[in-house]
Amino acid sequence: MGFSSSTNIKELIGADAQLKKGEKHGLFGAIMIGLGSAIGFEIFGQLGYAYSLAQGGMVFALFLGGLICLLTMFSYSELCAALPVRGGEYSYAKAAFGGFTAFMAGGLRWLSSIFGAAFAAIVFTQQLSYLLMILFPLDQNQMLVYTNLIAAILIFILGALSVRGVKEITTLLVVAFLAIFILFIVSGFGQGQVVPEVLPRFEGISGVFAATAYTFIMFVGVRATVVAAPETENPEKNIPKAIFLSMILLIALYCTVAYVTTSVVGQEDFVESTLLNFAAEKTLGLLGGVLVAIGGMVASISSVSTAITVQSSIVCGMSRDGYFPKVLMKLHGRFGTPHVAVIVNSLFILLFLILGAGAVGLGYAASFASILVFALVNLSVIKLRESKPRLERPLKAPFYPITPIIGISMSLMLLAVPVLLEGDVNAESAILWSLSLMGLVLATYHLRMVGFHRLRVALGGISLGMGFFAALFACLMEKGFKPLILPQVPPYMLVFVSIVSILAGVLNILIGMRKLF
Amino acid sequence: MTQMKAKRTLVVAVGLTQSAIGMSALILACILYFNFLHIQSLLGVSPELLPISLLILSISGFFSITGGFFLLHEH
Repeated sequence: MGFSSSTNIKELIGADAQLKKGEKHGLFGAIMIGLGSAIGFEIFGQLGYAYSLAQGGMVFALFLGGLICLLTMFSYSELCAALPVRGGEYSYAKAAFGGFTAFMAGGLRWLSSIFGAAFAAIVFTQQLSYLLMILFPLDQNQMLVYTNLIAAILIFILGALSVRGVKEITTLLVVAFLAIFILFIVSGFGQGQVVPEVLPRFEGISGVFAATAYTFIMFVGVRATVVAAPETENPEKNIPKAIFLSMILLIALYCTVAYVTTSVVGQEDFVESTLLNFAAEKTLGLLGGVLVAIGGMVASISSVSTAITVQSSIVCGMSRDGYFPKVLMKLHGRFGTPHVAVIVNSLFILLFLILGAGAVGLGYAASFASILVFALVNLSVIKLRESKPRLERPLKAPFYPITPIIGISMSLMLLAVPVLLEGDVNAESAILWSLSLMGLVLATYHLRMVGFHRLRVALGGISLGMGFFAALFACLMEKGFKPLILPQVPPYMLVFVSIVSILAGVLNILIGMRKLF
Repeated sequence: MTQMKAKRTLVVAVGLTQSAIGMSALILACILYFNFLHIQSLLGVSPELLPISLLILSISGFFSITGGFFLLHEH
């Protein structure tokens, strides 16, 4: 997420065309891609909640998240150098495990992007609300009431713009964004009310792990460096260096921001969603809060646009491989964008906003899906080392197999901690949404594999069963039985439903059987 | 020929009706969820049984719509 360069639609359909040397970028360009993709809206949305979980341990929580991410980035580097193809996690899982796991990796990446876009839209509204509170103090409450509605309108507009095709976000924005943070850090040092404890206390360790799970999403954007490997000069040397340097810079930046925030906020009351604005106000005055709000809004808009493009590329890639209907690959006649995929993805994002999902839950859901993708990438490294030992590996993950195993263990721990130790409602609902959508994606995979006519026969059987069940209920109601569920529904309506369902079931079975045999 | 035409008409009619039933079930589920016009008390749905009612309506609605579309697709 964050300020990543927009995915060119030709990438997802076309072959891996080799770029000329002049078009490739060096180490600095690769670092900029990593930083640009990682520094984004997430820090505005998750920092407040992470602080409420970890308190003084927030600095350590961010350091831990960066470290776990770095371990998996070594696996990314190995896979990227050994398999220099487009498709990222999807291609790696396909090479290691085959179709189903690859589909899972693609599906999880898509899920992460959907949740991330919805999260970014809400962060935009929160920052807009903060800005309006300063300009027109009375309007803030109204904004908070309509947070999800405004976020949904933003998705609608950006979805429409994505159909027209959005232009790339330049690194100029990344530099501006870095400048805001550096200004905040420089002015914040020495102004703090308290000196934060960098190392967490034992009794607060569960809160620190939970905060790591919530803030993990802040680092995952660095994988863009790996994805951009085909456009990098000497990728075998430059990509690992770029990943390492990007991660070190990111960890240093986020930990310092967290340190300054913790020191200036102290024990004061603040609104969780605008913690960073509050801290900036403390260090730079009202202008600081406004600068952070504008930065947050720009980052959110850029992230939503990027996410919609990335989702479309994932969906188109999976349609190309026959997992999703081919209609999703259809390009707009005038703009050349995959408008069907953009509309379908935007509808999924809107669904979560309409259902009233909160920023914290969406942020965790995005983290949850990303963490699972990271675990799959680490597993792919292990599997490929075992199954294809002679595969040429210009780069190898250091300390194998310790790094991928630690990466997997830490990922699984991050998934479990917020729910098991903290009993966090946000995490529980986020996991429920993720599993529901993942169930839908897996059902699509299996239905696709089963084939249309077998599916029709199965559906006919279900219709038949539903019809007989409705008929049974109608008979029982006639005899005076009062069902617990929808007791006021008249029996004649059930009889009508039962006749139609039985007829539809029989017809579907007959037509399906005729086509099968 | 007439028999074929009658068969097609039947398939379309059943497909359309089943899809309409499915859509109605989903709309009813939404109305129940948002409790428009106090429909929960009108239909005698207790708050404890609301989730299971919504689940049954959603699942049956989804299957009905899909089954109906399959029949229409055949046409």
